[in-house]
Amino acid sequence: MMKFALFLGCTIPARLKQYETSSRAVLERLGVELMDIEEFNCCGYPLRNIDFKTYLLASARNLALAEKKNLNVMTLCQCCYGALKKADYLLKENPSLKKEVNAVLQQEGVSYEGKIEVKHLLSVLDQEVGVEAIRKRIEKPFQGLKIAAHYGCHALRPSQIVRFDDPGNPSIFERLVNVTGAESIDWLMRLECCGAPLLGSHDELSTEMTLKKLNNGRESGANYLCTACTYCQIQFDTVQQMILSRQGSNSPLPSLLYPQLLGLSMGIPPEPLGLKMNKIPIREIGS
Amino acid sequence: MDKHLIFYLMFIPTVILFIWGMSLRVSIWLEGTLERTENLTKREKLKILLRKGWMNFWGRPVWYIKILIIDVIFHRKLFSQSLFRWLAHTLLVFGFVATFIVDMIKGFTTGYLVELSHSVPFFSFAHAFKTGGIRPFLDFFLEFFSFLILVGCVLAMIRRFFIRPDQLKTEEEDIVTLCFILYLVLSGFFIEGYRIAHPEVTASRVYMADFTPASSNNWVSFFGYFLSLFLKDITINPHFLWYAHVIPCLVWFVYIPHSKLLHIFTASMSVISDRQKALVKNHETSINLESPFGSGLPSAQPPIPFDHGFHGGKIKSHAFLNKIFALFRSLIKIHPKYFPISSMGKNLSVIQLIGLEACVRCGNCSEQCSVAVAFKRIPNINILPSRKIASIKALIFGKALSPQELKDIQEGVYLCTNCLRCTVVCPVSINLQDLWFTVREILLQRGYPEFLMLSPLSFYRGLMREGMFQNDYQKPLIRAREAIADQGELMRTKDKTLHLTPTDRTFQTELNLSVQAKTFSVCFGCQTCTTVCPVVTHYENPQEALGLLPHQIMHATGLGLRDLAFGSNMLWDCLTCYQCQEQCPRGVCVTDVLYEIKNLAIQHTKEKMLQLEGKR
Repeated sequence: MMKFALFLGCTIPARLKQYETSSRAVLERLGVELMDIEEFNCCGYPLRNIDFKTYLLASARNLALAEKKNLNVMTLCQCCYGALKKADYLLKENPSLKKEVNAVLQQEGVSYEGKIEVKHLLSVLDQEVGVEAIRKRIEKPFQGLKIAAHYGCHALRPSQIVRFDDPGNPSIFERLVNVTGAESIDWLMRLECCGAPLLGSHDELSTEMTLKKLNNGRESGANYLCTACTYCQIQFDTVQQMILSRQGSNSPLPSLLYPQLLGLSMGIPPEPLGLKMNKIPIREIGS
Repeated sequence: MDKHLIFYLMFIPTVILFIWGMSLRVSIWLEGTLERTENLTKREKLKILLRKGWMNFWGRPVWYIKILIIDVIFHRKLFSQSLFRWLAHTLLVFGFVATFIVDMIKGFTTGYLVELSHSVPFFSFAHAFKTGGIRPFLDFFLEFFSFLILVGCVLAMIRRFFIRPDQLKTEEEDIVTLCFILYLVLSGFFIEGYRIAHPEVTASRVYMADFTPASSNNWVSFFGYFLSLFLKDITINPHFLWYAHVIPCLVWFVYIPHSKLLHIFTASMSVISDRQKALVKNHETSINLESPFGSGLPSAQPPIPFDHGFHGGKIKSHAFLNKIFALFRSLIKIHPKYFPISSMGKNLSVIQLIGLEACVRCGNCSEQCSVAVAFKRIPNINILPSRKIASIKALIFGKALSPQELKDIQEGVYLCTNCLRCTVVCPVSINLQDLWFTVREILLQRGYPEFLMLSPLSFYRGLMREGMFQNDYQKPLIRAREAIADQGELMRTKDKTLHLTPTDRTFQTELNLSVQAKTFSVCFGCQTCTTVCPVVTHYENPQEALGLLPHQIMHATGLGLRDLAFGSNMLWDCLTCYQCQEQCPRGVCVTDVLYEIKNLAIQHTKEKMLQLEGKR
């Protein structure tokens, strides 16, 4: 039995519940058991610009809590993934940093010794569950659906630390899209940033990045974009809708979360997949 | 003199004082904003609120009564959170409500109805209440419900003074309130015990009505009877005992609007308003119900400009009352959260002001806060939600705060990932996240730069941009960047000769947080990082927009040119996509170096600003 501590982070429960519900629905059918640790806090990612050690402490606390329960961590958000991976790497690499962080954590009776692993949803599906096992579960394979898989920076890079896939030519996401029967298209900007990290601090730049990717996806013939990250999805869904309504334009490239796509092909009913919660409507998918 | 007369002589002023206190509070809440009521007077706002509330209630009375019973009186949320706390709270609430009801029935029937039955025979059933079969039940339930209050009070005291959970912060007000309740219940039982022990007291009608239990010699009045066993040989002036119980009861009544007990009203309003919002949200199209307090989205109104001193916003008509109150306060030390409400408070909505007073400092929010862990590194108490609300209360209710305190509050309300946890766990359903958002926007307009804005913590603000004023949105962001860039002298002097040997070696040594940050030194200037940077390629003239480009920042770091690195927009426009770091042929961790330079830039700017303020 595959068992993970599910790390949701801050944004999913507040603004992207469908990512949680769809992931749970999919993973349950694939035999992955998810444990919830209520004491988890912010992954630390938003604090990296401000104070390195505060980031590290926040991250390490999560790792320590999971280690205490002897569970590997699975994240849904790639920014959480990147932050936790980096912290894990630093603490394993640098004993004096580990000592400093653990000194604070011990006030709460926990510490991190580096005995667990941090995984992302996609790597769990690809490596732990396996594409073949997923294929057996596909009940309603898509036909003629073109999907632009968006990788997300913080899962892919820095590759030396995250070890997610080949940073220059990754294939995991395409593999997982193809197993649903959909066709993952090749597109030029698939490894580029979605723009989310600058939303709120430099909106124009942030949304330009988003639009560039969306245009490239559309031009490459995609029907949908597919993401596996909280921030990327909000950027391509909520923010895209904001931009479109500002421009009065009406030709969106809707974005799906990967577990939503997979769930549909597995025949999971729409309710847990939360398709209705996407801001840009998902219509006639799979027909 | 007849006790009835004395009682009413004291009771009527008490009610007047209570109403005065309540209207004072209501008038403070009405200072807040209400959707679509700009430029209306407080009286008009109150009318609108009452009318909407009335209409909503009759629109779906069953729903409201259900909410009142399940969520307010039964307190379902607390029940799911902590059985102990729920038990203590429910014993107190239920005890008070039930005792009040039974006491009313008893007083009404045994006193007035029995009297009335002499002329209206219909009321002769009241005799059953006075001397008949119903009497023991009345006595028993009165005893029992009062005893519940006592147990609840003792449980609450055990938790607050002996168990002392970390999340709980005990203030004077909490101690006063609990001791007050304990005293009232115990003194009541004491009188009862004394009456049972000394029947002659009842016979001489020292007390108001014939309140002495008819069944006083058995265990129906179990606690009073138990006490009476010890009181047989003691004689105290019964009049004194009466005053010692009744006067504090009346004082307590007057004290309610000025104490945490106000949450009886504020928390109910907060909870009902929250459920209303959820109802509207879940049935957006099918239900035509409008919360009297508005949609619950952060206010889209322009902030009312306010003076930098905050505490200057006195309300004119209250000037005289202010003086009296200051005196009153200094005499009996009522919690100093009164007058005047600062002009900042007028930027909050009515329900937010009510919410501030619904908080009983239970500390749930701080316990669940997603970034509370940051407090272990950043010594700013306002990171913790329960302390934020205390500071905001001080700010809103006109306490003069030092510039440092204001800065701390600003930082505290910004250091928030908007994860909604505080709001979800608040037992009285205060929309805390909304409050932080409103307060931080108001504080940002003060003009003090907030460097946390230059991080993904601003993501939520970006999502909420619609409906905010362009100027209010952009200005604080620009201000934060400028404050950092302004610190560098080199940025201002264009033609300066740069030395090739490092001018400022400390800069390099300060990049010491991680091994990765040291890698700048192996950069040989191939510009791969700059070439692959999506931000650089986005601009036609990148240097104009970004200042130094990534490879130049690496080089400037090697040369110790702190100012140039700090002053570059490139730092804050970095997407952290790690393309540069991934592609670097020399293994320079470019993104990580930029991260650390950002940390340093903020830290240095803060220090310099502090120095400058110190000089002034």
